[in-house]
Amino acid sequence: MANRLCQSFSRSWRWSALFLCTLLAAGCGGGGGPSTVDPGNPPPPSTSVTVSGKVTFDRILFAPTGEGGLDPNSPIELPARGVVVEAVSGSSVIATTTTNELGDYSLTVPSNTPMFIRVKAQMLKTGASPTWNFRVLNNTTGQLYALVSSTFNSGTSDSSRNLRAASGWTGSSYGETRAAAPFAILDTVYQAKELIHSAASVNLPPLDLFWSPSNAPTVARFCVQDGDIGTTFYWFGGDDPDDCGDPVPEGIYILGNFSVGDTDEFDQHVIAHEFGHYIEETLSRSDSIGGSHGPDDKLDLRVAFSEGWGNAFAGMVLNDPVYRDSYQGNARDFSFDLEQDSGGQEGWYSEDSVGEILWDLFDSGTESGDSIALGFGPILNAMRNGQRTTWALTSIFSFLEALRDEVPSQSAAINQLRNGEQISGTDAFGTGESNDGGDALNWPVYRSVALNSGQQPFCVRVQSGTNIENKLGFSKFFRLNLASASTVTIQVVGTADPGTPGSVAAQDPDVWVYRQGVPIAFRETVGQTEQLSQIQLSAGTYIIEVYDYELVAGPTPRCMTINVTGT
Amino acid sequence: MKTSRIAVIPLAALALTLGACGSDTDPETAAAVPPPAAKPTVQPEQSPVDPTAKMARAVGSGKPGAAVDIKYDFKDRPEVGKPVEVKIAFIPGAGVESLEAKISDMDGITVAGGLNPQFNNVQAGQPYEHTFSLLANRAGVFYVSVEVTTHFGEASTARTFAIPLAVGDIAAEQGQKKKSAPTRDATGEAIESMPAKET
Repeated sequence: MANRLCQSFSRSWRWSALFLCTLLAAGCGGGGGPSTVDPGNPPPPSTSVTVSGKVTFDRILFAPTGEGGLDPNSPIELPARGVVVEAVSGSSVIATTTTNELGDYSLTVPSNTPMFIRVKAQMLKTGASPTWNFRVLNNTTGQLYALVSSTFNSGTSDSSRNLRAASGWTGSSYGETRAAAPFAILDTVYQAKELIHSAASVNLPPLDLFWSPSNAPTVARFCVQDGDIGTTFYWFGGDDPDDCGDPVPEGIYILGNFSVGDTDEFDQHVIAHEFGHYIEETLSRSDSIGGSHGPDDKLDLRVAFSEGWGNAFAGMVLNDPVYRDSYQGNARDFSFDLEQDSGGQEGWYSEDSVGEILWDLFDSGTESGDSIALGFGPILNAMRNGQRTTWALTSIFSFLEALRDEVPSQSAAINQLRNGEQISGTDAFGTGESNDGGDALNWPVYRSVALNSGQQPFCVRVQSGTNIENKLGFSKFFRLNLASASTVTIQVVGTADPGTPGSVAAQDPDVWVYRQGVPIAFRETVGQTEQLSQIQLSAGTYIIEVYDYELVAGPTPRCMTINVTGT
Repeated sequence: MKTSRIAVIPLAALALTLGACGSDTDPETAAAVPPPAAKPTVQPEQSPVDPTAKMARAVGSGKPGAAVDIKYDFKDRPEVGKPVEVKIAFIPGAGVESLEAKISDMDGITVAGGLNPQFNNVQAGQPYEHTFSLLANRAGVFYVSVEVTTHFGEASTARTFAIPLAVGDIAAEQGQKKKSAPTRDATGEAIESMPAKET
């Protein structure tokens, strides 16, 4: 289309059209290769020349030995793939293209013109599916990173300009501009995109990735414009202001402050993990409530799946089950291997278990307990289909049900993997699950509740730990099936349970109601009684989440009753 | 004021002290939450729309790390040239058997005392306290880096915390910096140019 449009221009208009045509070519699927001249087109006027070259970046690799951190003194030079390249003259962009898989670009520009080459930290493809737009910006300035050449004159003959984004490492620290960082981040995104598109030609919604040399793991202060971001994370779904009163744009925020001790731009598993959250949220569905987590945690089932998915997705993108995350500047790292039991928690509440199951579903290797090698296609299909539409909350249970629906012939092998992680629930709601995570109060995974069936006592407890709101035992989940549209009242009252020794009344119950993961209603007022009155619900399955806002870690069960009435 | 738990969780995970998303308004009348783009579309069950509803959907999912939290306290306000005692409490999560930390300074501040505390046979949720001293050499905003490694079974994980401190009056400078608009290049784009190595 773009080329046909270009042919229709008269010769006298060609110079004006050149800029437009170049833009159109890049914007209509030209991504993935250097701009070329259509054989059907007349050759460009002799007053144009070609500037071509290769764009590369320095990748700093991990030391071969575990815990050895990154090796910044031995970077390798890799192609910057699929990034936007522009020729800029004065205040105008006079030609644009994207690099191909080798990092090569080629631009047709006017001869005898002063200009420079600008490589944006942006992967962009518009037009025909699949499309994408990934950018790396500095969250402290709002600026898009770009690698720029020196200014030169295009002259009268074709020329070559190779541009390298250097790491900026000067022996013991980053003493120069860290130009490689944004392109290293994009390179991991490129690999993730390739994995997705190897399985499905889907459009990927725009995503901004925010990195700055100032981004620090700050505690007690969250101001993205100052670089106080807390950790590397994916943020979506809200317009909440930060501690400085500024909005927090959606995207992936990445640590970069070397002097404070943690940088992640070269930690590919970390970036791919966060990209996995983006994929889960945009192509599938995530009911995760977020929060701090690790392989040694017993987590809320929604969080366990989302984080285990992130870990496994990172392994799939990089075809490497060993997750490594550098710290102490870049001098050390910790790791875990999805192919091995690390000693972390095992069960439906464990990101470790979820990650190991997903990796074994994907990988081609088989070992004891792993007789399956699905590759990525069925996994992505399960995420896009059954996991997205499940009536249950998103968890390992709902995912495995979705996967069994995709590849029913593999159900036995899937269940074998599941059993190996001490998980026995047979459907999306974990029916038949026997693993209570060491506390009988956590069983069953979902309780059933029916209209007008009277008060049902239950208790919550998180026996130990910190940041308990996203941990196993904090919330209790109820499944409500409505055969027809109903007007429903849900009342929860904090009261000690005579059947639970040592229990006390919950101090401040709160209630949320979800339909396919979407919050439909909630109530979070202070006090021992919480009531959602006369809510109109259509037929279907609803999940009711109840917790005690004032719950603290400890051995004492906090108990409540739930009563659901309606017509 | 009671703060929505769902909104707080991700922020707490980022060690925030955000208290702006209160939900002690009547949430029942504000119950309909606009489904995000990727969610299955369902008919809203309630109206009108809660102006804080999007907050309730805000989620921050961070990278994996050690199951440990820290709290800290400066005995006095940090001043240039005056040593101040800093107390840190390490609070391990469930499953952690032992932990160790490395406390580091940066240009402009100096830390001293025990900078590599270790704790064995720790109990989840219990605070393990440690004290060190800090000397600011000049005014400014600084960070003390605390890298904590936890051990469980045969595995280890780590998490880095940056404790911020302001020495001297830097509020005006910070405010001015925060409000500055992005610098734009000649083409009008907000670009941060980085020089390439050319061949």
